Amino acid sequence: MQNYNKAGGGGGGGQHSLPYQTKPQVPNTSGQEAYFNTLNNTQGKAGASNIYECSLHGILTTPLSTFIQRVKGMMRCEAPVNYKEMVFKTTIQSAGPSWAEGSILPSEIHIRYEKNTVYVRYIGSPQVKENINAMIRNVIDIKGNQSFFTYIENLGYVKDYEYFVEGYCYSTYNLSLYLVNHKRVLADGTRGDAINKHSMVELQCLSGEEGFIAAAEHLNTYAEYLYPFVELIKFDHRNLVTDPIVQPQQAPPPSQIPGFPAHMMTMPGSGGQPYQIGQNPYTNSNF
Amino acid sequence: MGYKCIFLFKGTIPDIVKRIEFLGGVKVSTWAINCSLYLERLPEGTGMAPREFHLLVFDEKPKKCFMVSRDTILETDREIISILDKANSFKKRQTTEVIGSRYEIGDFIIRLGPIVFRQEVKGIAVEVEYSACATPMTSPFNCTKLLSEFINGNLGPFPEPIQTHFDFSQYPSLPKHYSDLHTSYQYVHFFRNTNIN
Repeated sequence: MQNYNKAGGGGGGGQHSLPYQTKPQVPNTSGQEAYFNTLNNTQGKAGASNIYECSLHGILTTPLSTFIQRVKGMMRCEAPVNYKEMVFKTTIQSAGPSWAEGSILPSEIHIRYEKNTVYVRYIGSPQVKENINAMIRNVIDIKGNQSFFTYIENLGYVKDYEYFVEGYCYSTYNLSLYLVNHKRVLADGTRGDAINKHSMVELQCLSGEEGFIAAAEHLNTYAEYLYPFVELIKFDHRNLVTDPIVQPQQAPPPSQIPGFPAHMMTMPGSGGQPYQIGQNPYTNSNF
Repeated sequence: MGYKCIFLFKGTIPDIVKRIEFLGGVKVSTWAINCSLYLERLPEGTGMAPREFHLLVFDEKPKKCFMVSRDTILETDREIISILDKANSFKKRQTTEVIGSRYEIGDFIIRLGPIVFRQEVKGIAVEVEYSACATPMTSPFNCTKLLSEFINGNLGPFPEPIQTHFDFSQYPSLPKHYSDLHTSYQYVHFFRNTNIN
């Protein structure tokens, strides 16, 4: 049974990874007082959450059984992960400051629906810092209910895409590893086929505002033990959708690209429709 | 929790405290609520009416807050305030606070305190809860009449009788049993009717 308070919930790798730790987890290694202090301060103040998620991502291409053996040796708990996740984005244009006037904030609200319970996570835009070898995103977790869907739409958010997540969460005192598969949501809301044949791996922990470096080092130490089963890297998912080289209007269809693998010319579960660059494989809609 | 009635008391706090203590009421704790109006931040010149909602925080529910919009009432964790701040799409415009005391008289709980809006006292809010009944509409005991008798008979006299029956039909999704969601709507309605929010 997944324990959100201890192990941190959520999971998944890649762009849609979602840890839902209701309490921040801290490393218990020495020399990380700033890490502890910041977390303690932020927990004490209601409504003043400055908790950041530090994460590394990877795709498992090696045999699953050997990887799981290694992970079980490193982690203390194992819990199944099975939920539906909906990602909402705001449509409201910013009214300031001046440099952001008229822009739409890149923040997202992820709603996880699991066993008739609604978990909500606000995710800020990723902070890619060159001297810190982990992806850092500001997160705020709350527990909602069925009315939250109506409410968030009233607040100007619209559903962008949704998917199912299945897999396992392995956790120890201070960090969590998610080994999951993402599945497409069919038109009737039921579970479709897997989006990728490989499992996605995410290693993550939560940090206070001044503990990025300690958290990143902690993650990378664990990541080294998982190599070469999986290579966990700092990955900015925005590159997938904002790469200036790949413009959907100008890029040729995959069938016209020399050397493009034939088996990738159609999207799985799309009834043989050709794959278009810039198309969201999660919802069959364009980015 | 029991059914509640909220009304504006047009006297002074010592007056009503004297009546409560005469009835045997005992002050048990302090009490505070905070109601903020949030308006959507729209770029200048859009000409659209901004969306709005009220966010209520009760000190008796330290981890929860209640959001009341035109057609939805939501109970959620208090961290939603941080999300609103970071999302930057809604801005807190005005805040009304009530900070006072809580008294208990048998099955009745009375909370009262001055309503502070823009650092001015706008009146005295009194909340009377009958803790023995949580289903005002279907109960054969009909606690609204009992509350009315208690308020008008013991805390009055009032120029006009205090109405204890409250119409929640605007929010059909509210649960059957009286809850904090009902109380939130009553407070928003109360502040609007008293021309505070």
